[in-house]
Amino acid sequence: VASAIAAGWAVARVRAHGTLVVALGDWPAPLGIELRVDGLSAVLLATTAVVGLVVSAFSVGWFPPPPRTGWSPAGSFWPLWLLVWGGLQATFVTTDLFNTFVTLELVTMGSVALVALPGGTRQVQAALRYFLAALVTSAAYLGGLALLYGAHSTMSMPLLAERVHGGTSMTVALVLITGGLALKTALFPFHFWLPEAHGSAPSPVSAVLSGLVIKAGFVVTVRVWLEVFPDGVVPVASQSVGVVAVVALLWGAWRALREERMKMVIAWSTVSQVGLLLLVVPVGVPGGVEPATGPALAAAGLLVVAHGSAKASLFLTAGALHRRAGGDELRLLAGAARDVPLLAVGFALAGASLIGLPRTAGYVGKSLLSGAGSDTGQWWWAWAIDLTAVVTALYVLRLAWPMVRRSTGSPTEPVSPTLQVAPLLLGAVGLLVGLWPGWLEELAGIGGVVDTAMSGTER
Amino acid sequence: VTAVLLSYRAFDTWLEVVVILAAVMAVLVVTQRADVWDVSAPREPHPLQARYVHLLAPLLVVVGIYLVAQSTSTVGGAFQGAAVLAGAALLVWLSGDSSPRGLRFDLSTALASAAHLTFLAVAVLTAVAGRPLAYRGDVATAVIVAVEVTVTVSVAVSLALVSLGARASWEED
Repeated sequence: VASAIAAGWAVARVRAHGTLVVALGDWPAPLGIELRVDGLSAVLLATTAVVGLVVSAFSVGWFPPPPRTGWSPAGSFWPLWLLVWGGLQATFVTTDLFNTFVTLELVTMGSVALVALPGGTRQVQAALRYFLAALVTSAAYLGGLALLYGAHSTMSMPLLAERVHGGTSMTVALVLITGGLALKTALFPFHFWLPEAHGSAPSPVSAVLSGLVIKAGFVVTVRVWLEVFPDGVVPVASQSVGVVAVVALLWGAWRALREERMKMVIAWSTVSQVGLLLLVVPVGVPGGVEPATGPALAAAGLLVVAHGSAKASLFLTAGALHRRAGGDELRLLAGAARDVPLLAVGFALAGASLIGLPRTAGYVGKSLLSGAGSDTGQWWWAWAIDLTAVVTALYVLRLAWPMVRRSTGSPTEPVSPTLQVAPLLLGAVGLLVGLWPGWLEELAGIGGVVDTAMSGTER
Repeated sequence: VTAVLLSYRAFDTWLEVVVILAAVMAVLVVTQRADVWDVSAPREPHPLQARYVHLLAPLLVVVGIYLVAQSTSTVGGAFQGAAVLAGAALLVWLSGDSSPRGLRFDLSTALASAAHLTFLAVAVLTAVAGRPLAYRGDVATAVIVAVEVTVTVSVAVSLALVSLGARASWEED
């Protein structure tokens, strides 16, 4: 609740005064670490607060209350979840790349532990795979940072933006950093750890991992590309990211169509949607021509809101339906629309936003991204964005179809009201943003990049 | 080094301490039990080993404390000191004659999170005063030493918990 209040306060301040900057310990960069809340940070903080609060409410209904002493799953869930939440917020406001490394480590370590929470062999295996993969790529990311620091003696993104001017070592640094972050974001072909980790974790954990944690790596990727390397170093670099993103988009959707369990379908959907998110990189940094950072950042903000709320809602729905039928195989979803209409409505809203139907957050995000793409003369990415809508619709309908069918008479348990209302609230976020997108678009466009050192910034 | 860790880059150090805390919780999640302090050493120690550890452990404790104490003026610091202290504790545990069983689960997890809570308190107090993580000149030394000591304790207990927790999860299998 305190986080939500702080996020609301940050949003209000950014709307009133523009980007906020604070130098921790009164040591300005490059000596110290500067925190900064610009429009994109404010949007991310608000999304984290809303999704975090609803997931927490859901978790109260999901986990039994922890005992007073000793070890218990719920006793570990709450501190780990709050650490991850704090780590996410730190990632969204820091301007220091090394500090980002630490915050990403915190988020990853907490997430790994949360995946292992149920303690079954499947979960521990998934967690271990996630952990080992993250370890290797942390080293790659750190290697990239070392090259940057060696060449420019600072880790501050605004200062790096002024000092970085192409060159071989910078290209290598960009590749290492992007590769390291790609795994944390689960971009194809570094997605291999995600479906099992997100699909086997407890539902509130899956909601957090897919809805929010993925966005930490994504946001740092976007900041590194749009802020530190706005000329893309080499023109082909950002277009390659775009090609990989389209492959991710199609491969994730294809696998989502072939899974037999609801949570695995949603987990593969995340692999696909990460592809859509990463299209922000080639759209914003076309390479060779003037970068479209402002519109691309606004698109990134809206896409994060859309995917964060919709995906968290879907995972919570899957969890509630799992409780209802004792499993999450697709055939067990039969009759859900009739039995638990609130969950069905929430599912429909979240699904619509994920597909990007008009008047949803997903639609607004995709239109902004297409618009930014055509501004820079890259019509081909608009095609890829439209393609996402089609493939997403296929797997969302695949989940919806058994839900509206008549019940097969297999035994079901009642679902508590908390578990029904929470996913509905998150689904409604996508609709509300879609109906009144103006203020959020405006907020996401505040500040933008590079200008933090300039006047007009409140310190 | 201490100035870099606890003043210029205090936020990094704080988050690193929290990463270690998260690692402790991750090990406890995999272990799924509270009695990690009760696991026994992998095998009976050689009598010579036990005698040797009797001599070595007090020395290691002195070295650990020295590493922390001298960091006000030269190299050394909380992380290095804590690693030596945790190593001493593990040697004692491996030599089998006195495991730290008196340290209850709740107490050890509280000690492991002490550094995080200290940082949090400092951050809240300085933020309320208007300059987050900026210590006033007259109290700076006291604050930094207090943080350094709690970081030592927390990291040492955390490292021991992680090692014993890993052992506990093997024992289960």
